[in-house]
Amino acid sequence: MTALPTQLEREAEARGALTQREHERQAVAAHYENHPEIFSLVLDRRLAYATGIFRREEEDLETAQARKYAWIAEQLAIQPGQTVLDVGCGWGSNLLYLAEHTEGCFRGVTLSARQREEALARAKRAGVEGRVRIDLAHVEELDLPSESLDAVLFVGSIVHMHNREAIHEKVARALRPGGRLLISDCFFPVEARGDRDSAASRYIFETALGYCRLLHLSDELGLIERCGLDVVRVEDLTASYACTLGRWIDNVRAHRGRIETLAPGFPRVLQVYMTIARLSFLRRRALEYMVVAVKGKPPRPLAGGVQP
Amino acid sequence: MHERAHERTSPPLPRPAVAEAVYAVLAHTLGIDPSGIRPDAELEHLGLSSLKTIEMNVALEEKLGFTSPEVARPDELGIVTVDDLVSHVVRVLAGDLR
Repeated sequence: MTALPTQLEREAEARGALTQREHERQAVAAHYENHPEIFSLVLDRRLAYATGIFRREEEDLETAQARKYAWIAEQLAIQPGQTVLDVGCGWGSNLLYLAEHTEGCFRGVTLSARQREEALARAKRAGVEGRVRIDLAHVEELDLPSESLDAVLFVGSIVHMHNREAIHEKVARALRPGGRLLISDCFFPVEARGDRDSAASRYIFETALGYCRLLHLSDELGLIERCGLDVVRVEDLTASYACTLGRWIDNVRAHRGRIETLAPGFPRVLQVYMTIARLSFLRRRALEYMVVAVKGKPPRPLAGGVQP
Repeated sequence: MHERAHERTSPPLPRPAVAEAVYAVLAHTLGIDPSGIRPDAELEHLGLSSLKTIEMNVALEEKLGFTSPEVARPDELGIVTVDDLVSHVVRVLAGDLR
């Protein structure tokens, strides 16, 4: 079952694929072009702009994000020399964690020049710049040779991409046999809960974040499977995202003055969109999942592995 | 007995000052003239949608410096009219809530 398209999705369809790609390049990048200091005041020290994994509500943000980094590293099991692509790598949170903890070769892409600059500076500080390349590009325009990648990540990024069918096909083709795909992002429940075209929804999806398209989990899994991958793991992180957003909102409150100085009006945008998102996750009108899929035979049995 | 450390040193804002701030924020959020807002007007009838409620809460936090409740509908807290909202903010600022 496929969701009725939202107004934003209809607008994207009307634009056509190439114009929509340019729209995403402009509209999505705008949010992330804000000063990295702002995000360093709100997020964890590695600047993950996606949910952490909370085991208890009172845990701090650093603990929850550290657990997520470790969990992603465990799931991807990157071996020396393996090649990894992080699509929407942000300020390099997962990319640099993986570079620091494995001997793989890493490529990130982002639409924001400022994110790229910050991620490269962080790569240098961590001493991994020799194995990390970051491009300012849209994933749709990357030339990815077939069977050239061992792992591809989309952490808090795939919702910004309208043209999911083409992206999944491209990624699946580029994965080597045994290659892993990891997605951590937001989905709509199949059951209609709340108005997906409400002013509040549009505020997040357009005003704050430029462009977002949430699928049903089953539709995204269907796209992955039709491209020949096997889904090996799905974790519900909806409650964790509500906790993560709560920590971010507290940090916006604590640093409102400084953020306002760096970007007038931005503390309000952050707090409003984060509050809408948190309420949506608390009510399960939006759902957060982490998905792991493998091309061909999994390199090792994953079932019964560590809990996130 | 010593006073507890978290108790405020300055007295809470008097109700008329809180009301003035609430009316100003409400009018700005809704794009209407504050002089046209009646205390018995129902927030829903003024057009306070869930987005507007959240925007208003954040604007009140910025103006008055307190932590607003996380709600998309004021009636979740028993707040129906403009006057209910003023009373709620007075109580929050006095430390009676949260």
